[in-house]
Amino acid sequence: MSAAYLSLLLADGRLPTGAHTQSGGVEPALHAGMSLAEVPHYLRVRLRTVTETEAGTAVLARATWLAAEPGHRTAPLAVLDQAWRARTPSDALRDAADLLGRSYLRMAAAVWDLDELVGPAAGPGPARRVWCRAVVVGVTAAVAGLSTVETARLVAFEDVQTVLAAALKLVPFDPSHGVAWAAAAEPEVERLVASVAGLTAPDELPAHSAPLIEQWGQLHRETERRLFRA
Amino acid sequence: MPDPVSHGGVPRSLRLGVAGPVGTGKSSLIALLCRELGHRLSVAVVTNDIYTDEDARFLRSAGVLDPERIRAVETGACPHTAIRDDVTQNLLAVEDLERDFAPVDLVLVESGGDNLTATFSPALVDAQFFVLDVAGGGDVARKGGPGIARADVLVVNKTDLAPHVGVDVLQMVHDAEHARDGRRVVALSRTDAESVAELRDWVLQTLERFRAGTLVPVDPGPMAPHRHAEGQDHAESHDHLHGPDHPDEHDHHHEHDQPDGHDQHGWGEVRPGGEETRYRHVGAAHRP
Repeated sequence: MSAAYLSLLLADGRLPTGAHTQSGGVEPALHAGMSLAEVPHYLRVRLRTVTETEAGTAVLARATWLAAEPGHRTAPLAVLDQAWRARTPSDALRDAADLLGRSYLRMAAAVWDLDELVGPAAGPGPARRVWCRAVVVGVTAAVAGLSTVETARLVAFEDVQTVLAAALKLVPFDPSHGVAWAAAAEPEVERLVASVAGLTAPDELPAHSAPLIEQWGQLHRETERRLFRA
Repeated sequence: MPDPVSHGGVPRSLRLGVAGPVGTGKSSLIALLCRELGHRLSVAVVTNDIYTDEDARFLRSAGVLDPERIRAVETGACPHTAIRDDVTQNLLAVEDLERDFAPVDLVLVESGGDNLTATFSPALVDAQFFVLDVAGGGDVARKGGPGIARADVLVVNKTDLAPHVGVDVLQMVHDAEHARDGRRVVALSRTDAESVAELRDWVLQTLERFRAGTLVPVDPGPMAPHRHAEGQDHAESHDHLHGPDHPDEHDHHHEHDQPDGHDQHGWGEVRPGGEETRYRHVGAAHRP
């Protein structure tokens, strides 16, 4: 199968990973007073901060899965997973990413052999090891044959579409405007792709600060009225 | 289909869905079942709220179940999607409860109150209730729809209100039975002990069937079952794809590519790229 085809498959919003429950932080941002007109700026901020870290983690997870010997992949992936956690101060956002990681792995492990990442059946008691979404996406990209660039672009594209689809539900507007915004984000997406494509080790992962996104993420978890998980 | 036995070594519960329009009493029905069954079964609840965690909070405050056994799933304004086409977050919530409180006998999954078309995927629940109430009008049952026509049980709720809203309960139940080709209808009132017992006994009987391995989840479907113009039953023309669990009806929605990957529909053979070693033949034992 061609990687280009699988890249489209994984980027499709209909991929059953529970992503429809996520807003990419745009729901709390709008609640906090951000206007609809600012959504393109919000996208750019994400692509230059949290999403770049996310994409970098996926790129490194892909490389790790391909480079390590089968049976010895989880140890270096755990280091990478920790590096992502260290760069994601909001525990609400880490929790949301963990839930998505589980959802994504549930889907991907039904398509490809990911037993090593899934881990052995634990039975009742402690749950299996949880991987953040970026690690799972990166490993899935590896087994699907996606390139480094395709992997990074997948993560960036998904983030853009998650925000725009959620915004459309929260403050409805002409949906074709959302497509225009997604198209207009292309230079930022490709800038992100170029910036993470050369990463070779977890230490090199970008550690940006996006304090408002993190603060909104924390507040959102406590709100009693929300459409989206995060 | 859900793995009938276990996931990752955790015993499977009977998973029952509760669907129906807003305000018909889904949460109250769940509270009632918790009250009736909580002392003899290990019960847990997943709620799908559309805009709040109101239902989960109502159930926690009802004091009928350990609050930790009640969890809310966000639906991203897509309550239909969350219980029907991308059931992932609900499945994870159910499996988490089964793991955290093992062994769990029964998990009740409440849908976000939606319109008449929302029903549960058989990949999420083993059987389902659809709840109407007399206050919604006596003609609702006649309107039909997949839940009304083909949920395992149609509950006509709040029958004690009938005299106050000018509804003839017997007529409404009769209409419902007509729309359902004789499938079960329960006319329920919290204040009518006999109706409560009927509901409770149905759950216990369904649990027995589940444990005996004879309960087959049936999709009420988004569309009515049909026959082709030439009179050939649709099921007969596709029996190479469908296992023995759809003996008498199904619709055009071939929703058998369940992510759970049970192989009863022969998906192992038809999965795209199945001949390539990097694509796996999905088996229930491999679920994360």
